[in-house]
Amino acid sequence: MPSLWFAARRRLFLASVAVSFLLILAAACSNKDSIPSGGWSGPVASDGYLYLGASGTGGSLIRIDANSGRLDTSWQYPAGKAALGSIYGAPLVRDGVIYGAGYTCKGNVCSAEVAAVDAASGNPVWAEGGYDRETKISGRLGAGSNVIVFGTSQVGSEDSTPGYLFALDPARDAGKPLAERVQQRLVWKLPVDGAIVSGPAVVDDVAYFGTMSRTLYAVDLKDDARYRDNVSKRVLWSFKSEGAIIATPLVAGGLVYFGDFQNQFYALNANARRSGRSGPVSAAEGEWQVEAKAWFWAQPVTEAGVIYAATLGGHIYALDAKTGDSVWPEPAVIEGQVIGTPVFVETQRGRALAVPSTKTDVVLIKLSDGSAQGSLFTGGSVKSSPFVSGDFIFVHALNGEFYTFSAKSQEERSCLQTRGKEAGARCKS
Amino acid sequence: MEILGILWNQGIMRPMINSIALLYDVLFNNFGLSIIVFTAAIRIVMIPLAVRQMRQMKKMSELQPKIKALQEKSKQKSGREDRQAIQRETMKLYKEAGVNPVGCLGPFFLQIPIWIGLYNAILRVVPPTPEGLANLSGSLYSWNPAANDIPFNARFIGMDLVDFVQASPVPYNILFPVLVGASMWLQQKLSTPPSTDPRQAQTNAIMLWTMPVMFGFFTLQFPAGLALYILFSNILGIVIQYFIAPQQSKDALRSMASVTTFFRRRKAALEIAGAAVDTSAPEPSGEKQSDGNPDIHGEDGGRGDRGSAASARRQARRRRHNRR
Repeated sequence: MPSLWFAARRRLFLASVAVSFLLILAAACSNKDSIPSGGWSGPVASDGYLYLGASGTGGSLIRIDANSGRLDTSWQYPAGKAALGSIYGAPLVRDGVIYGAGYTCKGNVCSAEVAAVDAASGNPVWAEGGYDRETKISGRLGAGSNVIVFGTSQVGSEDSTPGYLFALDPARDAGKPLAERVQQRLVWKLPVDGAIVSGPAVVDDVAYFGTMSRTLYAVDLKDDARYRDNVSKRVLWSFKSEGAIIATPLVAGGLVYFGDFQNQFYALNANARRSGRSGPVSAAEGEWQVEAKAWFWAQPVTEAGVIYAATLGGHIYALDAKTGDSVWPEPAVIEGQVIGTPVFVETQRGRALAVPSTKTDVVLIKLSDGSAQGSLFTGGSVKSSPFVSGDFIFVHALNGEFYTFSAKSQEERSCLQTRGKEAGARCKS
Repeated sequence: MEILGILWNQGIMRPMINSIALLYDVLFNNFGLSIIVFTAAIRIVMIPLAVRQMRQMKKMSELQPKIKALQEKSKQKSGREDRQAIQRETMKLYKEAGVNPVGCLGPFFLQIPIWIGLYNAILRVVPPTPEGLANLSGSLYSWNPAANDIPFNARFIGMDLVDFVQASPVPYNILFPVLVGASMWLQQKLSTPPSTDPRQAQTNAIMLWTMPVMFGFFTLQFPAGLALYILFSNILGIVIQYFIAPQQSKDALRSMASVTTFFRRRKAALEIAGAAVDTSAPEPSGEKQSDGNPDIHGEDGGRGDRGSAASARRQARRRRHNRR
């Protein structure tokens, strides 16, 4: 029997070792943070259709009929099994063309693509494969007068620059047949001091964006001879914040509003900075800075002189646009993180802020006092920004379900699946 | 399952992420140093366990003759009750000696969640995706000053510790798997006590090679930071092993030297044999050569794993031969 005992012990030991290896292997394979896992593109509207990036690692640009709430299965880029990768920013609509960007990684090798698709036909405007780079694009695209801009996070060790702002000419080769069009649409690329995670906000041909290295940039997008020799001259001004900047800034009334990863929220005077003012926040220039309770990711929004800024801790602040003073007695607090930009909606009980939450809801917050007005219940986490059109609120959940709600009644009008084999079918839940 | 997930995240992942982040803040924003110091801290915490494991292994090896006697006894008994009685006796033997037969595996198993946790922690502290960045905000404690340092710089001596080893630049992509495998082999060699039980010795010999080779291979799939952890953990393990069991470590090193000597002498013998063949001299047989050379059994008196296993097999053969 002892021999049996020893044999059993040896087997137990070997089995334990094998199980341990399997566990390590399983952990190695199941890490969700190492590869982009789907993105969170919100919808945009054009000519009665809603365009969005279908989530999932094999993401694609799709469109939904805004009136019927049905997926237009004949319109998809790329067609078939090809994919753009994970699409994080809402598509950009300009002159009848839908622009979208996504990226995917295999190990340390990442590839990103910017696509231009004809809104009417769904055919590529540039060329099949779009504009592709070995980099990461995880933010939205911005449109200047003559260029499309986007930020990147550098990958690999060949290039020590941590991030770039790329400017593409969307109209190059526009008159040529598709087969003759070329991929070299790059007009210029500006090296910056850190990765650009979210995209730029473009106002009056100036792109405002932040980097992970705590710098807010204001970059001139105009075509000007003085920039041709030295692209770095395009930087009109920059500002060093206390923490990393992910949030796309909001530009309103001459002030640039943004939050950082040090719980700080800033309002900077764009004109004063452009005129040569530098250094910390200056109250004399109408600038202000307030401290919040968590990091900022979502782009702030404004209405009637109030800035609404949401944090990853679920706090929503209502701040006076000129002074930074709190409008509500206390910040509103919701469950989960706020990553998508909140939107304004008209409900039966007055004007509200629809705040997407990673805890399966879009929460409605009353603008007057910050109290909760209700929720739009979704079947999954919402990291994208909702889109409002008339009485409808369109919400793209992270699990691929696309919801249409009535803003007034907060009732669900329709829900369809946007990805996988069941794309276009009604949601099961 | 949800409770397990919460326990894993709050009990292992968050403390680990915050420890690494805090060390990064303290150690001049150097991610590599923070992993090395983290490794040292884990190893120091586990020293009592390592000592206990060592004692258990020593006691187990002291019990071997008695257990062997019981094994011999069990061969002569066939009744169920007899076998149960022997089993009870064996257990009594273990109990009296204060040995838990599987207890010596404790430190090994304790390492598994640390490895898995660290693998995830490295990728979470320096997240390569937007999802990871968003998750990081929920992982750092509010008091942790390392939040000021985000984004963490993962570069260390010319490589990115978040990159997988196979994608790291030359020579790291080759050096890491080799060093991890070699250090693991040496650590096991020093920590495995010699066994007189041939089956145990065989298991030890298999494990001595299987684990390092497999780990060397798996290292290619790990982030360089985890490979750095395993490598330093092994090196520290070797040092600790040498201090808590100096005699066993010296014996193991001596047996390694004897293996080298064996190969050297065997080579010399083959050369002599080759020369002898050339001059039509009779070739010495393998058995004779083996018996005539005490070093083949090892200078440790046949206590080396391979030597002892072979010796035990030879003894068994001789016994069978004598019986006939």
